[in-house]
Amino acid sequence: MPTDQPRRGRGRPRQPILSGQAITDAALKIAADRGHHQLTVASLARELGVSASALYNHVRSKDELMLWVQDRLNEEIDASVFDRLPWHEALIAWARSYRNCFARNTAMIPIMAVLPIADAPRTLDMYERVIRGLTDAGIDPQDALEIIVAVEAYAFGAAYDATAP
Amino acid sequence: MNIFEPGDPERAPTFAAAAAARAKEPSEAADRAFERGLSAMVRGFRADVDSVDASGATRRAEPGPAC
Repeated sequence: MPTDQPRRGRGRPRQPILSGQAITDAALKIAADRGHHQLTVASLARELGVSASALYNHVRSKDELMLWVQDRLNEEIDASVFDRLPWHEALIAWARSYRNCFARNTAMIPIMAVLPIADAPRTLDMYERVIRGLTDAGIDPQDALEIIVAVEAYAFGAAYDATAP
Repeated sequence: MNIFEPGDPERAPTFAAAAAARAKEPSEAADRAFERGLSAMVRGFRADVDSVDASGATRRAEPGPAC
C-alpha cells in the first residue's frame, strides 16, 4: 500500500482515500514491475489496497485509466521549450525529454504508442504546444505533424535502447 | 480509427486541423512520416560525416541533459 495514503478511521473519510496521482503511480509501478499486460483494474486495486468497487468510484474503466496514465506521462515531457527556443532547438529538447520520460517508463510504450489521444487534455496540450511552435516558425501544419510523428517514433525506439541490457 | 483524432477540437485547434487533414489511411500517414524522418536523418548523418571528413577531426555528439 502506498505510504502517502491517508489512514482511514471510522466514518466518512475527510479527504479522498485515492488521488489521481496515487492511482497513476500504482499503475506505472505495476507495469514496470510486472509488465503492462498485468495492469488491470483488479491488480491496481490490490496494489492500492482497496477493493475494485472502491477504485471504480474514482476511475470508470481501464480505458479511462490509460488516458490518465497517458496524461501523466505526457505532462512530464517538457514542451515549454517551444515558448523560448528556435523551433529546431526546441524540437531537440522536446525529443530528449520525450525519450527520457519513456526510458523511465518503457513498459508503457506498447500502449502509449498506439493509444488514441482524444479526451486526454494534458496530452492534447502538449501536441498543441509542439505543433504551434513549428507552425509559428512557418512550417506547414501537415509537415509539422509528420515531423512530430517521426520524432516520436525515434524517441520511442531510443527509449527502449536506453534501457536495453 | 485515427489515434490523433483529438476529440475536443477547441482544446488543440492547430493540432486538430492538421490531424483532420492527415492521410485517411493511418498506415499511409505513418509510412510518410517514417520516410520523411529517415530521409532527414540520413541527410543529417551525411552532412555530419562529410564535415568530419573535411576537417579530419573525430566528432562525437555530446549526450543531452537528463530530464
